Amino acid sequence: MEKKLIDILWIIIASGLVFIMQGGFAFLESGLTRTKNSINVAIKNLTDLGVSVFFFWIVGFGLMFGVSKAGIFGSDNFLVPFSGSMWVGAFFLFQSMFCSTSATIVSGAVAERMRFSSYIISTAITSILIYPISGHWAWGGALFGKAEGWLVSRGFVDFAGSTVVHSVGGWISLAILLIIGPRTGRFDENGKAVKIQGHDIPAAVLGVILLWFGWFGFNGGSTLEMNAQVPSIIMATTIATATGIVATLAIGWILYGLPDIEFVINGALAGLVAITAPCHSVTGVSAAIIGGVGGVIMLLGSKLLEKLKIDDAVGAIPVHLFAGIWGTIAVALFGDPKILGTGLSFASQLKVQLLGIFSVGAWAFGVSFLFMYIMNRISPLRVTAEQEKIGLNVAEHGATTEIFELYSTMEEQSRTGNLSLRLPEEPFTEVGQIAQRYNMVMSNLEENLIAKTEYLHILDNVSDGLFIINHDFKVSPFYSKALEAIFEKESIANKKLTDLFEGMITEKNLQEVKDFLALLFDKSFNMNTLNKLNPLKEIEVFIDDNHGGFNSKFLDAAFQRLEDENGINQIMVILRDITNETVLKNEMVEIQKKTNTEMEMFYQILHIEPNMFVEFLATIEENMGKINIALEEDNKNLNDVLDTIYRLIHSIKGDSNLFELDFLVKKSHEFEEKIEQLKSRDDLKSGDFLPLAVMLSELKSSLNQMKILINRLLNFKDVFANHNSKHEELLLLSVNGLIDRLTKESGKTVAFEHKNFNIKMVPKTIKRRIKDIIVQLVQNSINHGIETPDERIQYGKAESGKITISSSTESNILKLSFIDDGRGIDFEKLRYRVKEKYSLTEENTQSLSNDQLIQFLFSPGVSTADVVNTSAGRGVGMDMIRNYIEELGAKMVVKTRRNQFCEFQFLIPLNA
Amino acid sequence: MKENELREFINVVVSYFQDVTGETVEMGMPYIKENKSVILDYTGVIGISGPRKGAIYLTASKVMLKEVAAIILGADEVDDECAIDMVGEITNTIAGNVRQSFGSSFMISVPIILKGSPEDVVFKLQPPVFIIPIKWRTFSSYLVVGLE
Repeated sequence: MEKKLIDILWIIIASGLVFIMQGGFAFLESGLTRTKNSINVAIKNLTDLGVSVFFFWIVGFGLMFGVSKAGIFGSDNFLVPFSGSMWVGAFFLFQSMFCSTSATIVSGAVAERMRFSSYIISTAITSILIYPISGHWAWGGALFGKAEGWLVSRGFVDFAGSTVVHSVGGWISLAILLIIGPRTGRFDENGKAVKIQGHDIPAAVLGVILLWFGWFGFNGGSTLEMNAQVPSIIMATTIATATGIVATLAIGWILYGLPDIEFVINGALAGLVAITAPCHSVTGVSAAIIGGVGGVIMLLGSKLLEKLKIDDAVGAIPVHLFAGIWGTIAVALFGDPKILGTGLSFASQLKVQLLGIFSVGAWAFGVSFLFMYIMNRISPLRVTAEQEKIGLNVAEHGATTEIFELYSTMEEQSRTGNLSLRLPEEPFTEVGQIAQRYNMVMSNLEENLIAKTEYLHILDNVSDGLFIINHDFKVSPFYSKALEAIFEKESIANKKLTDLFEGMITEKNLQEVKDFLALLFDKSFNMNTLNKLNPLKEIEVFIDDNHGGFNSKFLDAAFQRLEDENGINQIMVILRDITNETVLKNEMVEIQKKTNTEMEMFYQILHIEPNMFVEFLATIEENMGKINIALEEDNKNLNDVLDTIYRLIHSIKGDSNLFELDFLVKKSHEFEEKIEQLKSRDDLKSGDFLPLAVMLSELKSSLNQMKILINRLLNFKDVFANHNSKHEELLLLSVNGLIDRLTKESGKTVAFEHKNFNIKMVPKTIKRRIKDIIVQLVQNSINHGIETPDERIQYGKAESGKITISSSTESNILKLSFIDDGRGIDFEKLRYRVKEKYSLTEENTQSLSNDQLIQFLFSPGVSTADVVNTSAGRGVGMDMIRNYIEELGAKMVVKTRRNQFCEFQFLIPLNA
Repeated sequence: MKENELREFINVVVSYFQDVTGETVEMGMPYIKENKSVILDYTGVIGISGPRKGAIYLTASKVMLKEVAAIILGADEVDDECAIDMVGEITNTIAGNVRQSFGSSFMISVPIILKGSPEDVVFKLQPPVFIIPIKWRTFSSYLVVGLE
């Protein structure tokens, strides 16, 4: 059969168009699958083209288009020779493209899980056996312009291969899918379909456009000549494709609520597949209907497969098998009988169409299932789960993609936690850019992690409390271990700093801390100024020991604002335990303070002989003890207690005066004043003695300080001096000092005569009392007895007064005499004071003899001094002398002559 | 130790006893101890720290506490437990008042109750120690204040 050149040219062009469909399939299928399998899908498209053409040339073409044997298969034209005939070559070229199309349909359906080798074998079987045999049934004899196949002989019409090409591919796909099963994750544990999104939809769309374009040749070329039908065929093809798209889009949108891309893609393809069989024999309207219904059938078919849990990766079965069946039926439904030229009635035509569908289906599905089933038993068609997981690009071809590198590095990282891993950075690609950003993030993260590890290491080992507080004063999660030791609490994170200090510092301090922290977050306050207000600077904190006491420690906090462009976000705090330093420092300060006080005291007692001072201290300590006993005894007669205390305090005052210890004189004077106040009270109560107890405590602490000092001085003296002072010399020395001081204060001049005074043999305790008595008498003489120099001159006396003391011992009795040449006792003044003190009548007072008046002189509260000062005027001194006399069991004689002298003689038993 | 501070402590104890017994309570003659103190059967101690350090305690005989407790509870006879509760109650009241008066500048410990005469109480006191007898009926309890 020879053809015109134009026909041959058209067929070659059509072949080229169909060839382009291979590219369309490659784009479509790889676009609709995941990146990890994209290379595998694409390479299958190229490989199956080569394999199918090769085997179709060797065997397939002959079986399909060779001289028919009983309409079942062709028997010649194997290893197609195309040297002899232009037509055979062109025809082979065209048909081999069809064969490849049929074979390549399978690759999309079984994508992402079928072993590459199994696929190649399935392609070989398709192009060697399945496709040529059923193809012979429908198209056998076409090479010679005859109808040799048993189906075509019966009137079966499949113009461009809805059944012969597309359904066969669909059937084979179905058979393999049933054997290999769905992809992992396509259906969840409840059997619900989970959509696996294709990785490159724009590529899939381009694939469809290429297919659509190629289909012009696929259908248009099936005329096998360039005739008047070609344009209408191409037009019908285009119309059906368009309605396929529109119908799928509309119905899919209604059913699924959105214009699903894959439905639009497969809608176009379903329209194309459906119109393939009847494209030469239908009107434009029919073509539109066929395309639209094809789209709907594809939609329903997709649903059906999901329901049956058959996982068709790209929707090849709904498109190629279901729409192909529909297209084949549509021949009978819409085909112009004249054009079909079978001479069959509608029913017969329909019947033969269905026969064709069924028989081809049975053949394609049956043989492929049988072969694949056996093959699967020999060697699994499906890749392993692990291979499927990593993707067939790597598993089957060792071909990695950037995205795969990205995934695997990420997986490796998540598995090992190794943050030093970096992704390969391929420039100029999206994945490469992602990798670059990812690497940057990882570098920062790693750096931060290293920084964090180092920071945590520091926090674990630093000896200070190092932490950060937020606006709400809460401690940030990362703080130094030392902080727990400082607060003696665990799990400090997220606790308020102020709560941590609660119970450790006074409420006043706590309030200060709260105010201070608030100011720290206020940018308007200068940090240098705030630092001066820091209430936690060298603060003593207390921890209740739950035994009625506290443990205390010293803390020092330093604050640092952490600022960024938004202001002060956080405050860094360094809290140090400075207990050791502070205790040491405080001790030093205390020692310094003590030293200063001691030095002050030291200056005051510098002139006093230490041994005498010790005695003095013993005396006042004894007196203080007596005061305390008087208080502790809690006598019912509170006035008596007051009198006793008064006397004792006065003695202390006198002694202090003797040693010129002004601070003690002052204190005891104040003490006396307090007693005076109490004495004037009518309703004296025990509680009123509280101030006396407080003053006594103050005197005691002064005494204690002096005791400490004198002990130190004594030690000093013992080491460096060998001073053998005689006791009486010391006594005389200090009386001299007392006279000096009192005369200076009073402006009088007094000479002290003690030639005949010797108390060496007198026991110490008596000596002390003698000293006490002399001290009181000296005060008395200078204050009351001895006149001022002017007065003395007036009375014709020597300008300077004189105090003479002398002693003698006889029969164990010490006779002590104290004489001053002053004005003597002013009995009139004394009489007046006695009258005042005891509220006597004028008559009674006048009747008192001088001897009686002298008795009053030795009772409490009577004095002839006009002014009360630290050394005289309270009338206590003489009262004390009386007490001493009683204590010593002594006797006293008073001799006096007005304006001449006053003498006190004491007879003191030494063996008492 | 200042007189007004001591007075504050004393008033708290005196008015507490007066309030609960409805009878006259008198403060006895206050005196000082250096390194000794008075401890009766039951003692409630409050530790004081901060600007002043030391302790305050109230010590009373079991018989007195039981009598006071009996008045409060309106019972003829109460057990030893009541005496302990009593001293705890008084100490808490003192602590509360001390807190009110000095709270913002003093640290006041959780009061503890001691039975008998544990030596270490004296160590908590800072000399000089003021002993203030608190007299009720024929009994004397003692408020002891030893703050530096």
